[in-house]
Amino acid sequence: MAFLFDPQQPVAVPNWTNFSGTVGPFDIPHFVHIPGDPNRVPNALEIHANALREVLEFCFSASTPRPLRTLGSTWSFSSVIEPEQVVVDPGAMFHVQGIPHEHWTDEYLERARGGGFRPIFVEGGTGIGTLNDKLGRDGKLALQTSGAGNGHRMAGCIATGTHGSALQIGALHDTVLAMYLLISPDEAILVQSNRDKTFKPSIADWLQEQTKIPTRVEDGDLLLAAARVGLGSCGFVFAAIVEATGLYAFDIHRFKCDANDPDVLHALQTLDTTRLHASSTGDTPYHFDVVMNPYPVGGKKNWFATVMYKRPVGDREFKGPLQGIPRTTVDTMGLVSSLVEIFGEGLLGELTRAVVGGQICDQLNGDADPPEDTLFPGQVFGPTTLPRGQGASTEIAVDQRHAQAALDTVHQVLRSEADKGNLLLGVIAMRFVGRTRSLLGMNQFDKTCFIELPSIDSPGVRSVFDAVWQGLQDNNINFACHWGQLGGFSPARTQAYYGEHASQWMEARAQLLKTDTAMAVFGAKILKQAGLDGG
Amino acid sequence: MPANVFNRRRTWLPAASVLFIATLSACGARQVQLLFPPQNDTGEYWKCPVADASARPEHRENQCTRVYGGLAPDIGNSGRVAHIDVRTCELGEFRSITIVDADSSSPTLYVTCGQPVGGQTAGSQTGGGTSATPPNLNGGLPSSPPSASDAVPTPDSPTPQSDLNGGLPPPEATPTTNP
Repeated sequence: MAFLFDPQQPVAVPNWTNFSGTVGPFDIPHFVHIPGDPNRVPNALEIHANALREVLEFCFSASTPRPLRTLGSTWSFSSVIEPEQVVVDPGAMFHVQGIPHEHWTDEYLERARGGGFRPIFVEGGTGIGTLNDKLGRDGKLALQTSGAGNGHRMAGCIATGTHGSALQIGALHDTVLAMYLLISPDEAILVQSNRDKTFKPSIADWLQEQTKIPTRVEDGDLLLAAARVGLGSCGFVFAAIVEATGLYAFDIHRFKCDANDPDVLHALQTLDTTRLHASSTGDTPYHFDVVMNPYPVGGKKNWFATVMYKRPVGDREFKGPLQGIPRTTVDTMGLVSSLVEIFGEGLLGELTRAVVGGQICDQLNGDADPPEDTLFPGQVFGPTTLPRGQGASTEIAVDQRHAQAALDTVHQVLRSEADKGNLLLGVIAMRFVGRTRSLLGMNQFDKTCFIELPSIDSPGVRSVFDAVWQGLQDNNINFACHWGQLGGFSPARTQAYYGEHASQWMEARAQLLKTDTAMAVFGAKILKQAGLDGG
Repeated sequence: MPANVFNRRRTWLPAASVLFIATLSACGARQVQLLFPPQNDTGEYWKCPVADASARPEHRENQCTRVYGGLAPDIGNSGRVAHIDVRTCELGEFRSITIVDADSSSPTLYVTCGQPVGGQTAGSQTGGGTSATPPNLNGGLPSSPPSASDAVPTPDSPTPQSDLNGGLPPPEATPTTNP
């Protein structure tokens, strides 16, 4: 069946910007919506595949290949989303299904039975919130980790290395068992680990039967490690096979502290949180984060440490997300949205350190208690509100052993920039994540510390970000920036942080895509910025 | 209605939202559809089916053309700048679905879940349909069928849902240890 895509009558979108307003405006000559609502048609995957194949044929067949970018769901701040000639919106690609265990290898079947894991086929356009709901309600399952909110689409979330919050797990992309990639109009591959195979070769027939795309299985550890965090450049992410686990709940404890609280500083340096929560001795938290008011207010609590413990749910009935993320300290982007309403656009030039610090303090201290003692993951990391057209954020990743030095640098820069009138209109959030199995995951260390600076956008904030990156470099602190957020990407920083993983990623990408045409179609500006274009 | 259904952080259209939520509660909708008056030269309605009340919408990266309620790709038309937010919140017996920020003139909100709200037969304007929501996807709402007065076509068939556990029973309770 022919798809709506007619190159002769393109749907053009003028003056496109991303949701936060950090990318664009661009005129997009070909803007394509993938049709096929899985809740309304019986063969959605085939419809999606047909549409994508038409689009790819258009991109591949041009004398100069047309670059294609795929949209996420409003969360990208960086040039990873920067469009060129063809843009695909995969919003209808949200089919989620289990995979019959006949296609699992014996080894994986044993792991699944022993550990309560399940491989789940998740189409690239599926929102994390939709996925949480589906898993919990229909399968008594849950993601092992996710980002701090549930608004991301699966493909965008993992493509940019969006990290979770699980100390022991790693990021969401580290729970991806296989990637189902469309690498040309007529070829799809399922990339899985060679060492720890999840699926038998019969999985290719199972996929092909549904999509009608000629499909083969590609076993390769490095290929999978590259494709997991692929920057939208390792083929079109039709679906990710994500490893879910049995449904669980979080027992959440939050501690309000003074700035520079010694027990929190000890926890930041050692990841030993027992001084914060005496009863937790011997029980390592699943999640640990600290959120700070960048401009502390005297006499008030300015630092907020949160630990979460994983708990069984027993027979408890699954519940969907709350209306908002229950803790402001988890929902930092929601906090920035609140600040937009409080400050308003016109006041940005008149704000002072004291005013900003006071408002942030009020926001952080204003949470009500969650409705229950424990919450499902989709409730803790639920729906947030992003500041449309006014958001900015950067996030730096460092080896946890350098967390204190990096934090000191951030504070030092904030002070010096504030003296110039440049204020961060948001918070400092520190999270800790286990080591990645992906070549370009930012969590490259046994424990990686992420320092996020979400803010209302302004020229002053951009100066703060520039100064933070420069300050870290000047202090010889090796760091990377979140691929999906504003970052000081450069070939030198990529090389310093990722080392040989950078060249391995480029080699694996070339091996996956095979042709120069495919490399051009799935190219992106961010590759050149970060020295990942092979040039 | 619980007072906290209106989150202070968001921009609401109070009257429409109240109607909408009330309608959801009353009809036990498992599909709703948002419609706005014509905003462009085509005279077509700008539409946002939100067929699965349990699904969070797939927000658009940009601010144009169509908005999904997590689904329904073949609807709507272009030209509107709007932002729809569907919240799956469990407040009593219903979930709220609200408009966060719809710009230009204040849009009138219509709902198709058995009966239109706002004085216009919404279903006849859209040609949209009530889908057969698969089992377990009612988002906690009663799975009552559309009423006889619903002026929308017969549901299409959804894509078959496979067993998420791949033929195995759901995992036992998650270990209490934090690995």
